[in-house]
Amino acid sequence: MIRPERISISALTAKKGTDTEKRQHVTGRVKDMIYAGPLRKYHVRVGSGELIVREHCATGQTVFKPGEEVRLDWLRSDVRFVKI
Amino acid sequence: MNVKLPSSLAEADASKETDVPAHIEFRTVTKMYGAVTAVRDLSLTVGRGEFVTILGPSGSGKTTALMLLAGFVAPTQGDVLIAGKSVAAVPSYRRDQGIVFQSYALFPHLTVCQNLEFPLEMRGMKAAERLPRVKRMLERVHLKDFGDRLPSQLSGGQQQRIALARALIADPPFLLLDEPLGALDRNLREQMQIEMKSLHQEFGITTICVTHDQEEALTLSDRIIVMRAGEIEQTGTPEALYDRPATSFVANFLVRPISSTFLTSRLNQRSSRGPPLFL
Ligand SMILES: Nc1ncnc2c1ncn2[C@@H]1O[C@H](COP(=O)(O)OP(=O)(O)OP(=O)(O)O)[C@@H](O)[C@H]1O
Ligand SMILES: [Mg+2]
Repeated sequence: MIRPERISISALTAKKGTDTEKRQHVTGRVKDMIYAGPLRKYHVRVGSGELIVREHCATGQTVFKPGEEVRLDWLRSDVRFVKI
Repeated sequence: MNVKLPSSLAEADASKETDVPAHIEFRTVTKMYGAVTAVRDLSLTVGRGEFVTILGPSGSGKTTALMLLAGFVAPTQGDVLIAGKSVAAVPSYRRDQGIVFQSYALFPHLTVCQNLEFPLEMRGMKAAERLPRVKRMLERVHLKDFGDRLPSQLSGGQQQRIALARALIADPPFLLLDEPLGALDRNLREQMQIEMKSLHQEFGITTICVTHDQEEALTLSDRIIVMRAGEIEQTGTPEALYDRPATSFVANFLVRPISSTFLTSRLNQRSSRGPPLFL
């Protein structure tokens, strides 16, 4: 599992960072975006599943709309293994 | 289910370092109500001054654990010890813990001052001693001008603050709180959480607080006990439980309902690099 605040969301065209070795990514399509005051929550369809991304609103961020394709990525070290 | 924790997660036992007995200890305690097992094989130690939160869904045995500690119910098996002595040996009216239950309301026909005096009176303290103490306590909870009001003339948050003040006023050895902020709205809860934290720091009193509010547990506690169906699922610091949950139950439980947007689904998609992802 990974906590929604550990996932970062970006446009497919965005330049990748320098630490790609340490990161994993998937692509998906924004299902909806919920604006919750200081937070923005995205529900993103990825394959047959859905990932939730939570980001703090800040100036200069790209805001994605439902239907847009996005890349989600996170640090491998942020993934936790838990017993189901 | 009993989860074996990786050793890095296992909490240091507060009492192990010294010969002083733990302030509170549950030794393999089971409590049955007829055929229902409310608490199963519970073992737990709480150190002096610790703020421990028992977190878990409805029916997981939280209130039962508190009742066992307060001596209101007796274990079916096992033993509960306070400072090394079995609770069973001391009748509960002789124990002077402070208790705030959600349903444990203030006396409606007594004024705020009289409510606060009550536990002192029960201990045989003279009026001349009681009044300055009540006054100091009211100042401490920022309600010094409210002493002559009846509880019904206070807001929910103010009533809750008086209930806390009443629990603390006789210097109890420990404080038992069952959903102390349950009736309050969100803003007030947050305010009261800060208030409770500072009261705890000031009084340094061992506190066991039952809640099913994840955020409250994360905010207030030195240590959280997550219960599930009468058993301890995992214990640890708020950070450890949030960041390194041992089970998906704990992981899911430690997010506020509003953002309990948590992934338990398995993704069928493979990551572009590295191992397949099971999120
Ligand atoms: N007096 C009783 N007689 C019979 N069963 C009881 C009694 N008290 C509790 N139980 C049962 O024991 C289990 C644990 O109850 P408990 O009150 O400890 O749960 P809880 O975690 O405090 O739940 P909540 O969050 O709803 O307050 C439940 O299944 C409950 O129905
Ligand atoms: Mg309860």
